[in-house]
Amino acid sequence: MSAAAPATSVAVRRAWVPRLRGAGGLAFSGAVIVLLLAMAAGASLLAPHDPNAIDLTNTVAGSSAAHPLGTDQLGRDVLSRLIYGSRTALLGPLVVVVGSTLIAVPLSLVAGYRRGWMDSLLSRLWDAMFGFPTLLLAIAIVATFGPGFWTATLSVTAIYVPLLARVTRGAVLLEREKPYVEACRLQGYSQSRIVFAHVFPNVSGVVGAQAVLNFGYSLLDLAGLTFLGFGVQAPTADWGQMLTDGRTSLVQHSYFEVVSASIAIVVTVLAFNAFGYALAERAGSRR
Amino acid sequence: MIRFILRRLLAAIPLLLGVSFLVFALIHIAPGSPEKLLAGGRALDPQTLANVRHEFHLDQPFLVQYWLWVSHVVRGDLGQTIVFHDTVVNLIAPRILPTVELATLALVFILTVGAGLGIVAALRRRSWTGRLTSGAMLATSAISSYVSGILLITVFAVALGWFPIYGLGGSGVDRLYHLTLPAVALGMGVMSLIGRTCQASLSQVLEEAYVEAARSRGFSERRVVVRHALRNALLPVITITGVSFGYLIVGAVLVEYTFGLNGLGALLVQAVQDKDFPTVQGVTLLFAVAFVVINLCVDLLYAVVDPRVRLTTHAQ
Repeated sequence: MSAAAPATSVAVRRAWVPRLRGAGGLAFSGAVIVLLLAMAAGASLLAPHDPNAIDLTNTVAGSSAAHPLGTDQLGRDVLSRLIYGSRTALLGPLVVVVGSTLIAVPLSLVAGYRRGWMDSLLSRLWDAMFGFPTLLLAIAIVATFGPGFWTATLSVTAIYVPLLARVTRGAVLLEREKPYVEACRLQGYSQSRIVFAHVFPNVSGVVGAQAVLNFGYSLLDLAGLTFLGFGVQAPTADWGQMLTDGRTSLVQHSYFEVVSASIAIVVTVLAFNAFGYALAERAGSRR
Repeated sequence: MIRFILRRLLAAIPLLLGVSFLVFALIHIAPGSPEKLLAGGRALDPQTLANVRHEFHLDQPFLVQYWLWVSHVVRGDLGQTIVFHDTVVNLIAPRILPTVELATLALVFILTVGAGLGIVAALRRRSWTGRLTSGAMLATSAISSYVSGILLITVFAVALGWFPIYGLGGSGVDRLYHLTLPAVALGMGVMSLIGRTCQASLSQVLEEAYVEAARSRGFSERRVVVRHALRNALLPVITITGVSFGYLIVGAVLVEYTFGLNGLGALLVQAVQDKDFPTVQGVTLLFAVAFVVINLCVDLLYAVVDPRVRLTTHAQ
């Protein structure tokens, strides 16, 4: 079932991306990412108000000096919620990327290098997981374990394991036929030394680029789960939650909450995508 | 060709079994007892508990339970819902059509607009029109269906008031009118994927020697593009269209929730919120089976369009 893979793999996408010329694209998207991280870390310094401070006398207000992006249904400051929302928005994908890398990469390195029964078993497992539309599996897992930030994050981690595993395996299969691996074998190096000290550094570029791309995509998945009510729960400030909250303010012609949360999501995802593609370019040109 | 179809059909069976096993196994890896989960987390008197245990064969070994469940599912019995005192099948059946209508409309949008933009971007790739089109396609690819849905509602339904905000509407033209924004929201991400695939493959094909040969035989540019280049350029588009169905299904969950459409996706969200586990299983299974079957059809279609596919599988 080759057609079942989500079309997010580095190898497939690379051909269609207009080349953000080398270092330029990397520096620009990297700068946006650093700014986002600074916003999440310094949220308490940057935010003009407490994101959870309710003011029922001033709900769904427009832009003012005190509230540049207005207030929401409960009179909470939208700008402050947007700034604090970057925390869960970045923490979730970080857990997804680190978690799926720790599971998928060592497994695929060893399986791809040794081949044999372990490799075919794992490949069948990934095929079965690709038999599901990915987010559907995450929703089923949330249904089983109950909603919340950690359930949503871990279920999204589970759906990113097969993708990263396939990309890693593909890269390992290419590497294992190269002369330097043969040279290591002739020198009598142990299997784990060859795999982790010699093959891994050579596939880390491609794998790292895919991991960065997955950061953006998993952010979309997590915000979507939260939007459905399955992820971060109220009253925590979160971009997905802001879409849910802001949707009710729409009929009162108050657009700030919905539009600012949408822009935050899109800009963050675009930055990580561009960064991932730029890394993939470099990994590709180094080969 | 018949051997190829049979081979692909046979390959789909273990996949369907694996998928159904995963759906079934979920309630057994859940925290707490399956009885409690199947009862929606409510406290039950011993009599009801015994009924639930019996109805779901929880007194049998695990694999026997799975076998009994699958044999019921194959006969079209997905069990009883917990919340509505009705069968899951009765709950699901009326909601299939709206979801299929939504996905079909999205597909029409994806194929016409996506392929159109891709062709424009490839043919005008050295001009501003081309660069603008491919830039627009790249930007829309990062917008998920629920984000574009909310933004479309904001602009076209609330601010401009051109389209309804909510619901499926009646039938016929009214339904089409109500489903327009949802279909665009659902299709946007895939549209740019299709567009960029089309652009990349057409740009590549236009460099091929046989296209140059067709040009040098004095055919008009229109004929060269339509009759010679496009035919080969569209092959990868079919593959991506197949891949996209998974996205369309998941996207339908988000889009139906965003636009308050009473389809399968909205039912799934409602069932998860109600902890109505048999319904969650039923809808998930239906989505997953649809996904496998559609992918199978796309593979077969691909083999019809491109003979090389079935020849290589024969050679293996």
